[in-house]
Amino acid sequence: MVKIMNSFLSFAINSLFRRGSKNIFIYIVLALLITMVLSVFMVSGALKQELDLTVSALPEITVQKIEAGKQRDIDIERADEILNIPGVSNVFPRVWGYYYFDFAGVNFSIIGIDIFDNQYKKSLQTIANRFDDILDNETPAMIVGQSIYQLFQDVGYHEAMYFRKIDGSYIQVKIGGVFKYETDLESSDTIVLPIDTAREILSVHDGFVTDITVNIPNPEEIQTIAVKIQKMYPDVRIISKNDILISYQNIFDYKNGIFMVLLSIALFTFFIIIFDKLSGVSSEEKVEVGILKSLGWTINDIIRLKFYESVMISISAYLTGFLFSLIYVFYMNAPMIRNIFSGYSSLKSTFQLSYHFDIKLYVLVFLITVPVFIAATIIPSWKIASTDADEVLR
Amino acid sequence: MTVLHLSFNRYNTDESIHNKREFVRLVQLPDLAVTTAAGFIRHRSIAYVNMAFYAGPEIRDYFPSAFIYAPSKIINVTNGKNYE
Repeated sequence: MVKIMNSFLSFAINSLFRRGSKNIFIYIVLALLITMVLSVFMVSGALKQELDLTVSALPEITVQKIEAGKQRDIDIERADEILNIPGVSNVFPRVWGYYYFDFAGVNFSIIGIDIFDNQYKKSLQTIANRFDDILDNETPAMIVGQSIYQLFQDVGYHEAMYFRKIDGSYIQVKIGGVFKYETDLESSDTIVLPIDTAREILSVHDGFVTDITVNIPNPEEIQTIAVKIQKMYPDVRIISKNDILISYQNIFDYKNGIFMVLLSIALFTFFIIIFDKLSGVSSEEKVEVGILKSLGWTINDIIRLKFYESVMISISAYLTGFLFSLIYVFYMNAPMIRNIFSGYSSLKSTFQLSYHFDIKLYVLVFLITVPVFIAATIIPSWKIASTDADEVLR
Repeated sequence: MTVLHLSFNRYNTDESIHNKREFVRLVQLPDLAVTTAAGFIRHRSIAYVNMAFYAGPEIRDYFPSAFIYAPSKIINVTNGKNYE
């Protein structure tokens, strides 16, 4: 039995080499297609994994005031009232917003924190470099993301940056530290500075904050507390951690995303190959099948031969594609495809995509490529094999 | 071999995961800083429905990255629609 199988295999390999250039072409196209599809999904998978990693650190509830469809600053006194609700452990009135840096045409996210708070100081020491006593000085100082730091160096703001306030005057803020490289995916566009300076830059008046975050230790109580807050203040919008998780789940919407375009191009190419394989069985191949049949091969034998051939091509193409996509995405950091994800007018972030082994993705791509390819090769040869040998040869 | 090498070398270490979480705990804001073209893409999970509209009344998502990052499904949650 093993001997027969070996003979079949060696015949199949020889048969592949006889039509070498055609088979190599099919192998290359298939491998490229698999590389492309896997790469796109690996990049999105890596980004999604990054989101899921940090979701546990988010506050349970965010309270925003919405008026006329716009978010407005919220009264800081509401924070105290929310803190009085049983089950709420902590409330953080937050001042944050965007600052458009017109010199480079990019947006920064500015976040004000109580920089003298010991807990904040401690966590800043773990996640930021170049953090020194500069933050305790009179002049306000900020901690910036890697990309912003690089941008400031490029445009000549080596020590400090001047922010334009809403009245047109400028405020000087020293660069006190840089967030570590490993937080770059989260922090690259972020500027953290003292809450009073943030108020000045973003023009958030005293007594008001941008929004309020609420910490609730017991997950069972989140829903009840959300309803309570909603009843207390009908003008607020409440976003729970669960809402954010839902939002993370559909970050890449397949309905109108560029993934669909890429994937459909890829699949279309693949279907063309299959179509070619289906309809383009050459007369040479027909004659070969005819000769084999007249030599005594059964239909089963011919199908088995074609099966071995297509399995060899498709599985080796899949493995090559798999290997190339891993190298392309995680060693080379996905040049080009990465740009699709990062857009054009943003800070050029230098983040490193973190590896994760997504077996579901690999199996899915395997199933939509390899079995279809094998079927597309076997079906036409079965059709020929089932006709009479003399008819084929004639 | 590549998979093994990647598993040991390119996976997030405990320290880097800790630092990432520490950063998020500090700023308390969701989403990734991959694309910063506009607020509604940068912090899409907590953006509100009309945010894109104010960039220009006649246009909605005109940034290339808006083709990749769908607006959040919870973008319309206002006045406790999903809580009452």
